[in-house]
Parts: sequence; structure tokens; C-alpha cells
Amino acid sequence: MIFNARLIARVFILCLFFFCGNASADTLPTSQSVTEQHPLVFGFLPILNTERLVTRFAPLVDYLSQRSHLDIRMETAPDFPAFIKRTQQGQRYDLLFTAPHFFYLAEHESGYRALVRVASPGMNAVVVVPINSNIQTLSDLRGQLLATTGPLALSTLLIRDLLIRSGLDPDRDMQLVSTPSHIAALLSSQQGTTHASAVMLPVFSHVRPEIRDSMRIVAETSMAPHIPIGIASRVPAGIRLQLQAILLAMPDDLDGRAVLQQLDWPGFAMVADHEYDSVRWLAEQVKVE
Amino acid sequence: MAVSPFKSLRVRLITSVVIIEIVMLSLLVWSNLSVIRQAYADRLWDTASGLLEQVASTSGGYLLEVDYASLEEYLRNVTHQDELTYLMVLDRDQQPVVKFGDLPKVFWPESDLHPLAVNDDVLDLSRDILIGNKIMGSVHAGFSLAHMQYAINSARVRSIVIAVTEIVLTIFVTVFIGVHLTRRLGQLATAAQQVGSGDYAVSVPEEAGDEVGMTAMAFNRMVREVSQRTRRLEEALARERVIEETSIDGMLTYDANMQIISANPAMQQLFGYDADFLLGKKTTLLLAAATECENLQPSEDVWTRAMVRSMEITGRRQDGSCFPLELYIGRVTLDGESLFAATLHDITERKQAERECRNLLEGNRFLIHKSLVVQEEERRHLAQELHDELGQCMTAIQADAENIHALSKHSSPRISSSANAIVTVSTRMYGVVHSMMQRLRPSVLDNFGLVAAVEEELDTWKARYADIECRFEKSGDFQQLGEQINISLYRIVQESLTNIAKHAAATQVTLVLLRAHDMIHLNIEDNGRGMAMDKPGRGLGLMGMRERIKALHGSLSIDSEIGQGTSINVTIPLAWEN
Repeated sequence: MIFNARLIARVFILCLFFFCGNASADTLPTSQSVTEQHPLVFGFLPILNTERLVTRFAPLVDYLSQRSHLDIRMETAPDFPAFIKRTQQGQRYDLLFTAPHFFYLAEHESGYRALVRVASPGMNAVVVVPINSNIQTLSDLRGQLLATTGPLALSTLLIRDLLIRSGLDPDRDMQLVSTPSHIAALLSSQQGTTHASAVMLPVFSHVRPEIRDSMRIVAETSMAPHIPIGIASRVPAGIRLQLQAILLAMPDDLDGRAVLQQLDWPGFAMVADHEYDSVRWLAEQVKVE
Repeated sequence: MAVSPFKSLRVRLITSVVIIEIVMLSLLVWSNLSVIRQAYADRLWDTASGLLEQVASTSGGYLLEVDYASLEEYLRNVTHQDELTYLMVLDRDQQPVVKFGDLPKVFWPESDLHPLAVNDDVLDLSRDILIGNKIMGSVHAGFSLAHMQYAINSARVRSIVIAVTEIVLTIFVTVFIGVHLTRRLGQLATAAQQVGSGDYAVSVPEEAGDEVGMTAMAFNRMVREVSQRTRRLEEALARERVIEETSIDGMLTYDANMQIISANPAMQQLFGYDADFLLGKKTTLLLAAATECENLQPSEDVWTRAMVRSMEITGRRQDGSCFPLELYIGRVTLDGESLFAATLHDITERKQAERECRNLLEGNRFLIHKSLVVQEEERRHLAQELHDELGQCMTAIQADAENIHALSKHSSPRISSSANAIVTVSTRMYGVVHSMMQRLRPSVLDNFGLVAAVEEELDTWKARYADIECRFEKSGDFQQLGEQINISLYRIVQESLTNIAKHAAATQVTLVLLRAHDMIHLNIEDNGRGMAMDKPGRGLGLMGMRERIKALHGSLSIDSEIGQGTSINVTIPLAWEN
């Protein structure tokens, strides 16, 4: 049944793609003017340093650009607040790769629309410690240093929620240490600078094996929806539908499968209405000055 | 004698050193400046390239994050280069996002390949800004060459000043040393000229122990040596002149063309020519026959022989008379040309004496031969008389005594005994007489020839010296030999055997007699004590042998050494007898 539903959805998307192709042809002057005046800017949340960010996501951007014949460029920001601000300031990014709770804000405060999301049930954060650490449970974190990716990061918010629900006050019972990225947070405890790290599970699963094998998971948070790709409302509908179709059809294409394999994602899926309302409680904790 | 300035060693030495120094220092300065230019250019290139690489490698993140404020702050912090004239970072659309300094008018200048290949005094460089092989923009920078040019110019000025200073110092030092050295060389040259003019009293100061001082010492030593040798040469020449002038022998020198170069006064006495007249004349003028001229220009081997013995030639005087000369020739080679020196000794008197001696010797030999013939004839006659007269008498006495002995053997024993004694004595006397006859003239020689006579002599000799092994070998026909040869060979055998018995103490004697090719060969050889052939005092026996053989125009040789035995070889030609 699941197979049939996905098949029907893909047929629908393809039909939509051809329809929209014709529609875009009708509205070609508008889309052309948008893309010829300036290329599409694909904004990526700085979850990694710039070198790793480009290495990881440049193939996806190149694939999209090649398939759509549009000039698409990567951009990022120095940090999460700057990225959120730029997202809010007049839809700086035409395409948006951001955390679920940030997307909730972009969707509801800046008019972005969900294009697709990673075709996975969701993702969660974990607390990891060195494999020989004495920390066995969350309560062992009392009085310890816990490395995080910053106060606005999804992993931090999920861990804070987990700690509170476990009867711990993250601001009093322990000291949270902000680091520039997930990798930095992971390496800080692996090298003994802190006692534990709070990182997203997908990030932990894809670090180098020698690092991963030297760490141990102490606790896991609840699941959150997977990362979405949003699109600014000013982007013509034809382009939006074209890009959506390309992303959804990636598993059917050899090059697309290679890109997905490099990202370790199964593919992209359509986003249901109000799907990201589930992280509203996390978005409400984001305060950017 | 003044030296031309262009040929002056002093001028040439100083000029050469100065020119070489100028050329070498110019090359050195030029080389140093090239190295300095290259070094400064490389340093600027490394600095600029390093800075650009650093900016390009670190600006990508800022561009991707669109964080131009941080990028500008970062660039201001890292770009503290005096030589940097401008720096700007362009985004992916080639639009400047950060820039400071005096931007170039050209949009945008291409990168220069090297500071030394720049035309506008600004080294323009650019690099792409990459992240993960993605171009995020580019960085352009300009570097002023003014600092580099200033440093190069300063180095050039320093090098030229140092070079000029070194050249000036070199000129001063070269002139000083050159004048000092050539002054002493000039003294040497002057002294050498004085020596060349015959003044051997000159001496140069040996003040320093350097090469010139050593040369001066060697020069002084050489002058002393030359002076001594010249004096000895003059003395030798004077002695030779005295010898030549007072010598009774003629002396002359001549060249390879036989032209006389010099002649001493004795030549005038010998040949009648004035000594000056002979100069330039051919040596053939002095010879009795033209063919003898070659004696005065001997070939190489003749010259070698002339060094060990003299040659006799016949000279011709001015008045045409001839006289014998003994000639000694020597040769020296001067500058590749042969020069001959001859000494001529008048041997007229000696030749006369030699002729007289030769005549006397011939007379003596004739007399000896005659006496030997007479002696042999007398011996034969005496032997014949002994045989004919005394032998007949002794035979008659012996026969009568035997008759008396037979008749009185029974009637008168005393008479018989006396007769018997007479028989015994007469028999002994006959033996003595017979022996004398054999020695005087063996009858077997006349009756049976040489071989039989020799065999009989050997038998008698062996009977007397039984402990000596004697062997006789013969070959050929000896029946028809003449009386002279027979008796001579027999006497030689007889004399040789007597000598062997008396002196040789030999144990083996071999006698060989053979006739071949009209020659008679006689060899008598023993293994006795031998004798020294170079010692005088040979006996009369050997002398008699020689004279006998010489009378027969034969030859006799004796080979003997102490302890090696003696061998006598006689050869007589039969043709003479015929």
C-alpha cells in the first residue's frame, strides 16, 4: 500500500511538473526576469564550517542547477542568529536549507513555503560521552560540562527539553558550553575539553568511524521532523514546481542517487500542511535580537 | 740601453694587472647586481604570493557567509605590507566587496609573471578564492616595486664604490710592487749586459729572499762560474796553442767538406806549405794519391776505428816528394756539423827501421832453416856412417867373440868366459849405437814412411811411459810426402812427446794425423797441467817447431790453459811442396 501511495504521488508530481512546465512557459517572462537579474540564492544554515558545508551540499546545488538550467548559488551566514535575521530580512534566500524550528519561523514570519523535506521520519539529538567516561545516565551530568552547538540549535533545544523532563535544570545543574558546530561540540568531549556533547544523531552517525567508535550514547531526545527545503514566495511558481519535481525525482536518476548517497539521505518527500507546527514549541524559544 | 715604454716589463706588468683587475671587478659587480636583483625580486614574489595564497585560502568562508565586514577586518589585520599598493576581493560576479589602497585603472590587470617582468612599477597578482573546488571569488593585489628598486640601487651604488676603491688600491699596490720588482730586474738586466761585454766582476745585490733575490743569487753564482770556466778555458786554449806551436807533429782541423780550418806550424815543416796558405785548402793537397783522401774524411765506423788505432797514409810535400805519415783523426759535432781534428806524424825513420828489422828477420829465418836442413842432413849422414861403419865392426866383433867362445868352451874356460863377456859388451854397444841411429835419423822413416816412423816412436815412448794412455788416429795417404814434410812432422811429434813426458804430467795423449784437401793436419793433445800462454820463456823446442812449420809455409798454434791440458795444431799445405 505504501508503495502504491508513493507511486501515485510521484505520478501526480510528474503530471504537476509537466503542467507547471507549461504554466511556467506561460509565465516565462517573469521567471526569466527573476533568474536573469540575479541567480537563485540557496541559503544553508551554518551547521558545519564553510569548507564542510560546501563539500557536503555543493553536489546537491550543482545537481539542481544542472537539471533546472538555473544559476543557483550557495550562501550561508556567520552564525545561526545572522542566518535567521537574513532569512527574516526580505527573503534574502530564494531557497532555504534550515533547521525545522527555524523553518517554522521563516514560514510563519517571512512567508517562505516548504518545497520538500528529507524523506525520513524525523531526527533526534543525543548526549554522547567518551566511551570510558563514568557518565552513564543524564543524572551523571550534574556539575559537568556539556558541549552544545549553541543556544538556538535544534539539538540544544531538544536536549534542554530532555534534561528538564528528566528533572535536571540545564542552567544550574550543569554548564552548557557553546561551540561553533556539531563537530566542534563532539570533538570537545572526545578530546576531554568537556565531559559530554549534545549533537544531532545524523551528525554523530556520519562522523569519522574512529571518532564515533570512541564515543558512547547516553541519552536520546524525542524525534523532530527532518530538515526541510524552503523557497521564497517571490520565486515564480513554475520554478518552484520545477525544483520540487527535480528534488522528488532524484532517486529515479543515477546522478540524483549519487548525490543522495553522498548526503546519506533516502530522498525527498512532499511536506504535508502544518507538518512543522509540531516544532512550534521549539520555535517559540528562539529569540533573535 | 734604454727600454721602450711599450716593451717595458714594468709598464706591461702594471697595465696588465690593472686591466685584469678592472675586468674582474666589473664582472664581479655585474654578477653581484644580477644576484641582488634576482634575490630581491624572488623575495618580493615569495612575499606577494604568500600573502595572496593566505588571503585566497581564508576569504572563501567570509564570501560564502557574505560576511564582508569580518572579511575587511581580517584583511586589514593581515595585510601590513609596505609594498602593498592595493588589495581587493571580488565576489563571484567580479564585483569588489572589499577594497583598499590605490586601485589600478585597468579593470582588472592580469597577473604579472615575475617582478623583473613588470612594466608599470606595480606587481599585479590575482588568485581565485576556492572552497571545496568551488570558486567563491577572487583576490587581486598590487605590490610596489619602489622598495625593491631602491634596495637594488643602494646595492648597486655600494658595489660600485667598493669596486672603485678596490681598483684604486690595486693600482697603487701594483705600481708599488711593479716598480719595486722591475727595479731589481733592471739591475739584473744591466748586470747581464755587463757580463755579456766581458765584465765578470759585476755583482747584483741579494737583498731579499724572494724570487728576484733568489734569481740575483743564482745570477751572481752563474757569473762566478762563468768567470772561472772562462779562465780555465783560456788557460786550456793557451796550453793547446803552445802544444800546437811546439809540437813536431802536424795538427790540422777541417770540416765535412775537407776544407782545412786550422794548421799548426809543424805542418809547414812537414809539408813545406805555410800554415796560413793551407787555410781553406782541401786536405787532398797533402796526400800523395787522391784515393787516400777518404782517409781524412772517414765514415762513421772508420772514425770509430780511428779512435783506437792510427792509420798510415802517404803525404806529399810542396816540392812533390812523398813520405809516410801516421794519421790520428778525431771528430766533434758543433751545431749539427762535424769538425775533424787530425794529427800527422812523420814515420819515415820508423818505416826505415821496420824495413831493416824485417830484412834481418828474414835473414835469420833463412839461416835457421838452412841450419835445420844441414842438421838433418848431418844427422842422417852420421846415422848412415854409424850403421855402415860402426855397425859392421860391432857385428864382426860379436861374431868373432862367439866363435872364440864356442871353440874354447871346453878347452879353456877362462878364454870362453872372456869371449862371452865380449859378446855381451858388443851386444850392448850395438844397442847403444842403434839407439843413437834411431834418434839421429830413424831408418823406418826413410824405408816405410811417416806413419810407420810415428808408430815406432810412439811404441818406444809408450814402452818408456807405460802409465800414460796414448792413442794415435790417422786418416789419408802419407806415402808420397816429401822429405822436408816427413822429417818436420816427425820432429814435431818427437819434440811434443818429449815435452809431455817432461812437463805435462798427463795421463792421456791423443795424436791425430790426417790429410784432406791437399792439407796435412797434425794435432797432439794431452790432459796435463797445461801452461800460461801469455808468459814469456817458451823453450827452444817450440821455437824450433815454429821455424820448421814456417819454412813449409804452414801454421802452428798452441792452445793451453793452466790445468786444462795442451793442444798443438799443425797445418801444412801440400801445394807449396808441389
